[in-house]
Amino acid sequence: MESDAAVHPGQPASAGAADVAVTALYQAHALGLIRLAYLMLGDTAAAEDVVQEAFTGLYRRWPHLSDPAKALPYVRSSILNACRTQLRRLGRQPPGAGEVLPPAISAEAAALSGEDRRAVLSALRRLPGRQREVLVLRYYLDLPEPEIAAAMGIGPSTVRSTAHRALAALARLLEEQP
Amino acid sequence: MSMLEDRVRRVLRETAEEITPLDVPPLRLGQAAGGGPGGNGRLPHARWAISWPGWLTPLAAAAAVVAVLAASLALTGALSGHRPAHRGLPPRLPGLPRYYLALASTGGRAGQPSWRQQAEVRVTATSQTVATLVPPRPDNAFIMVAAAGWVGRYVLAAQRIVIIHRKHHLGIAERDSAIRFYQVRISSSGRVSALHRLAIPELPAGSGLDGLTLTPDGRRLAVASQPPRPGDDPQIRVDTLATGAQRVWTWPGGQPIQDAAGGTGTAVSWAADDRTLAFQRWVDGYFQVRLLDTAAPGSSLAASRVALRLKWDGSGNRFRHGRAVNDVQSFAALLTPDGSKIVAATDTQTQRPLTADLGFTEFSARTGQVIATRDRWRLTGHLPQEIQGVLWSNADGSTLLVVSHWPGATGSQGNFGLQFGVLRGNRYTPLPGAPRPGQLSAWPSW
Repeated sequence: MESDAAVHPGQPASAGAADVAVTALYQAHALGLIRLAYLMLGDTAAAEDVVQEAFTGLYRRWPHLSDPAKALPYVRSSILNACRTQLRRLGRQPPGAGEVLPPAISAEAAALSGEDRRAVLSALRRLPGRQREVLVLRYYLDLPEPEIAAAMGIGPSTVRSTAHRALAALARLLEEQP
Repeated sequence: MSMLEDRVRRVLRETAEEITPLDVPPLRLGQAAGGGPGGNGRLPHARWAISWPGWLTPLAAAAAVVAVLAASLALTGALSGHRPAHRGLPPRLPGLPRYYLALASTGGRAGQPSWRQQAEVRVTATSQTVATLVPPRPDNAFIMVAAAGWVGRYVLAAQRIVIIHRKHHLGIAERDSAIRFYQVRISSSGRVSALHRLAIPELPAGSGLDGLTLTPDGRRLAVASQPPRPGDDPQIRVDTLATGAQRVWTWPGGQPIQDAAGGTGTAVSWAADDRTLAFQRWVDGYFQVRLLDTAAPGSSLAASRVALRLKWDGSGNRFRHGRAVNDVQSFAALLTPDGSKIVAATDTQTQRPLTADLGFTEFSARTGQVIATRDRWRLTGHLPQEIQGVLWSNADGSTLLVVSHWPGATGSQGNFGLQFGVLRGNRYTPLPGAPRPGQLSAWPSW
């Protein structure tokens, strides 16, 4: 999980100051964010890459960041966008159509963790991307609705309704599984 | 907290913990493009946005022809199965192009050495595969196809995708390359030409390809893309294939140009006038279909006209028709070639009982108003997934090729009952012999 370590970016300044602030933010949140990307992509290396790229983007934008509190939401949002792009680039199968789970999840995880975990992961994989994102942000990162909304670029009410639909769809998918 | 929520939370946490603190690599800010904070994020060399000065156009045309010929000779061997697999003309479904291209993976999981994503040339009437196109080296995946099926011209976007697992390693995995463009022609008898590398600029590595579409005459290619660096503007470029002439439009600060159906390539579509290009984008909670006059001066996508605007209300893109509030779940809309309509898959949902009345709706490209909703059928017991869509339209939209739930499908029938089909007026028929949608890597192109 992401820690709550306070990091204070802002003060557009020298490259050195940006280095320090962005690195501190990375140290506090990298593990949770890589895990977030891993849940979306199912691939460790890909997850590391999108997080690296998101922080690189933050570093470039640092002098233009008006509100220090927006740094982490900005990175989260970048990561989700990058995950969508990755999935699309890899020839993402339509939600619900794919029988194959992301590589890391399908092999080791399924073998080691039992039927229930496999079933839930499989059902999550079949959800539309937006629904899967809401569930991961809500139940893995424990983000409140406004932060989920900020990360996904949607409204809080959309978060609520999407989560509701996602759970309903998940329940149906789990019922359908043998 | 419900049992299901607890279950989801537990599984997500267990799975996430497969990533340990030891997996977190150090941050590498020194490699940031653009030279550090406040940099423009651009690489030091010029990007692919080339424009030919007027006096150079004849030279550009000559260069384009030479490059295409050279690439053709070099890449002929990349094609397999290029002879027709049948004698004489294959059967034809009335009013539809004779062939379509479908992308499918082979050779295991993405990233494995043997993996590749190839293009299958299939007969529309039977879905028999008559040829298989293999991405030329160094690429190993075709990732999107644009088709001008009536004239047998197709453009394929190809890329090298390699996934290198480097746990506890500081190096960054190289997984994709620039996106290159190839053209292939298919004769009415099913003879498939050699694959030609088009002499148009490639998209740099890390770009997102959001849409690809050919004019109905196959002469101009529109490419919607997201540049590799965050913060750079989404853009659409139009290449005239015979001359190499190119124009680029951007939307400063704009949202990506993409459909809401997972990027099937239908985010852009042409009218047959060869100048009106439709594209889709999200903006401020609305989903828009906009029409760009590519013959008009200027380079801003903001100069395009909003043809259709739908409000995202939390569960769908809503529009009102009569008394019903309707829903556009999977918004991959097409402009009909006559430029008169925008066609999209739609549904109207009820919660108690859980139903969805599915259909395909025609919107006026001039006013955005609903003209008609065609071929409605009811899905009972579960809601549609966000994967219906219109894949091809004839000139006036009276015949569509679609991916849709099939009549009477329920969730228990697997794959949500999705299939490819033909919609003529109000009459829907499955596409004979078509693969299940889940067997393909992207929707077919006609």
